[in-house]
Amino acid sequence: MTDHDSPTGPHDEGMGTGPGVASGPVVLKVRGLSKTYTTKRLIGSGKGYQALLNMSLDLRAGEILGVVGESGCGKSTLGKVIAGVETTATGSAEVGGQPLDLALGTRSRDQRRQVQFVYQSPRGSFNPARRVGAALRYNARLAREVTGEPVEGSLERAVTSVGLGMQHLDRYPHELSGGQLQRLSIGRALITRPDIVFLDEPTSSLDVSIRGEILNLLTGLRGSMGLSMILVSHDLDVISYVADRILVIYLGQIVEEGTASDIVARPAHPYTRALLTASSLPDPAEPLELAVDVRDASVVPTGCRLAPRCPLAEGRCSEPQHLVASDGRSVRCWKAESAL
Amino acid sequence: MGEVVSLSGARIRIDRKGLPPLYPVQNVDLSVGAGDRTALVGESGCGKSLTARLLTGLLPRNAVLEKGSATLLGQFDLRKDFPDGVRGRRVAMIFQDPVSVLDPMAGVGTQIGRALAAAGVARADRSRVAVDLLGSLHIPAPDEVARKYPHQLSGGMCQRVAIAMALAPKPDLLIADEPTTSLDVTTEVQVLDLLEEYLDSSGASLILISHDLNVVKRLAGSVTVMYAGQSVEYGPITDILSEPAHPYSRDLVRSSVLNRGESAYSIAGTLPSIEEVMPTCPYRSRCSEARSPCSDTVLGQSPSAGGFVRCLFPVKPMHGNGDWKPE
Repeated sequence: MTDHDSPTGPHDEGMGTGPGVASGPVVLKVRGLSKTYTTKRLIGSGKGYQALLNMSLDLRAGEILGVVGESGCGKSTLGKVIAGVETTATGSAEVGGQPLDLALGTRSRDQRRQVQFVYQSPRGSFNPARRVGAALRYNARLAREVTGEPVEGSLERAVTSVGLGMQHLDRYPHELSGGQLQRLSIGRALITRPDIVFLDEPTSSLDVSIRGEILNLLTGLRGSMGLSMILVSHDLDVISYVADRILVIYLGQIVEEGTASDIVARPAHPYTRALLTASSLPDPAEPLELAVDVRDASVVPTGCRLAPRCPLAEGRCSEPQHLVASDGRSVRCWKAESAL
Repeated sequence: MGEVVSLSGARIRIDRKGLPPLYPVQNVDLSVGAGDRTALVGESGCGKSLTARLLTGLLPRNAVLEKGSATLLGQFDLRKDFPDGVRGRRVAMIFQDPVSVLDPMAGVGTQIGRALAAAGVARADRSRVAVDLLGSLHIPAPDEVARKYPHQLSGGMCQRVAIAMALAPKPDLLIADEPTTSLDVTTEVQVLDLLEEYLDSSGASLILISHDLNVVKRLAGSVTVMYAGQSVEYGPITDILSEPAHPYSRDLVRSSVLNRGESAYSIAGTLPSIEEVMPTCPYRSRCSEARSPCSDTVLGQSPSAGGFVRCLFPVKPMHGNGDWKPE
C-alpha cells in the first residue's frame, strides 16, 4: 500500500511523544503499520479493505495503552498483527529494540514469547473438552524451552499472580465462572513472562458485576510486575478508567492520542467528542453527535474518514488529514489542531 | 385498557431429557400500565429475556409457565395458548442482534413490506409506507436503503430496519431486548433517541431489557431489578440508581461506576443454580447484609417508595453514588 496519506514521510504519526505517566523505556515501537484484507473472488480481483492505515505507536514499560474505537475500526487487527496471529502486514515493529517479524509464521519461539494475546471471550479460548490446566501447560512447556523455567514453577507463578490456585487447573471450563476463566486466560499469557500483553476487550463478555475484578487485576499486575499492556475496548468508560494513555482509532487510523485524563478532560477530535458524549462519562465542553453511518464499508473517503458523519465537516475535510502532534497530544483534524 | 402487562409470581420451567428441569424464571412480578416505560435489569442468566419471550409467546417448546399468573393487554391469559394476531401487531419485539433478525435473502424494503402486510396495509401502499417508515427513522436516502440487502448495511442501519419492522403495525407494547448491545456507542444514542421519539408520538408502552444501567436511564421511567429468576426490586429509575433498597441493586449500581484512581467494585461469588426453585433469598450467599434469617425465611414483597423490594434487610438509602444523579 502506498503512503498516500502521509506526505511528510511514512513515519510522521503518533511518535510516542506522550508525556509518560510511565516514562520507562519503550518496549514496543510500531511504525507505519498497514494491513489490507482482500476478499477473494472467483473471477476478477477481490476488494481490498484497509483495516490499518500507516499506524505508529510506542508502548513504554509498565504502561497501559488503551485503544478505543468502534467495531471494524481495526483495533483487534492491530493486536493480532503485533501478536503475530494475523496474516502479513506492512510496516515495522520492534520489541525491546529487536525487530519483530510481521510475516505470519516466521517468528522465533522467543519472539512469540515476548508478545501475548488475551482474547475477548474466555469461554471461547479454552477447549471445553479438556481441563484448563492443559491449555496453560502447553504454554508453560513452550516457555521452558526459551526461559528454562520448570513447567510447574511457571504454572504456579501464573495462577497465583491472577489470584487463583493450582486446584483450578484441574477443572473444566464449564466448572469455572466467566471471571475465573478470564483470570486464567490472563494467567496463561503471563506464563511466558511476556514483554507485552495485548488484551482484546477483556471485560466486554463479562457481567458488569465482575468487570471490576478483572480491571483491578490488570492495574494490580501493572503495579506488581511492571507489565506493559495494550488494552482494546469499545467502551471509553473502561479505557479511561484503566489506561495511562489512549489511542482513539477510526476506520484504521489513529485520530487522537494523549494521556487518558487529558483526552477525557478536553477531547479535541470530533470523533472523540462523540464517543465521550455517548459514554456515561461527563459530557465534553462541546458535546457532539455524529450523523447516521450510511457508508459502504468498501469505499473509504480520501480525506478525513469521519467527514461523511461529522457535523463540522467542511470542504477542506476532503483533503488528507495528518496527525499533528503537540505537547503529548496528537490529533488528526485540521479544525481541532488549534485546540491542542 | 388499564394494565398492558401483569405478571404475578410467574415461574417458568424448562424440561430437559434425562436431566432435572431448570427454573430460569422463578418468581417475577411485573406490572406495566398503558404508556409506561419500564426496564428489566439484571445480569446474564437472570431470566430477563425469557420473561420477554413469555410475553411474546416465543417460549421454547420445552418451557412452560408453571406457576403464577400472566395477563397481556388486559385480556389475554398467557397460561393458555398465545393469542392469535397479537405478536407483531399489538406487541412487537426488537432483538439484540439485528443482522440475524433480518432475512439475508430479501431486500430491506421487501421485509418491511412483509411486516406491513401482517399489519394489514394494502399491497399498493406498502412500498411507499416502507420508505416513509425508514425516513421517519432518520435514514438518509430511504428509497435507496429500501432496495439494499442486510449485508450491505451497517449494524446500526440493520437495527433501524428491524425497528421499522417492529413499529410498522403501531404496536401498543414494544419489547426491546438489549436493542443496542451489538451497536457502537455513537450509534446506540441515535437508536435510543429513535425509540423515544416513537414512544412520545404513539403513547405505546415499553419494556426495555438491558444489562446496562446507562441505557436504561436514558429511556425508562421505572425499573425491575432481576436476580436469579426473581424480581428483587421495583421502583422509579431515579430512586433505584440513587437510593437502591435491595443489596443486589446497590451492588449492581456500584459495580457499573468506574472512578479513576479508586479500586473498581465487583460482586464476589457466583449465581445460584437454577435447577431448583429457591423460595428464600437467592442473593444471600453473595450479600454483605445477609444474616441468619435470610437462609430460612420465605420472602414476600415489602412495599417501598413507589415500588417493592424483596429483602429482609433492605439497605438504607445511600448517597454519593458517583455519576448516578437523578435526572
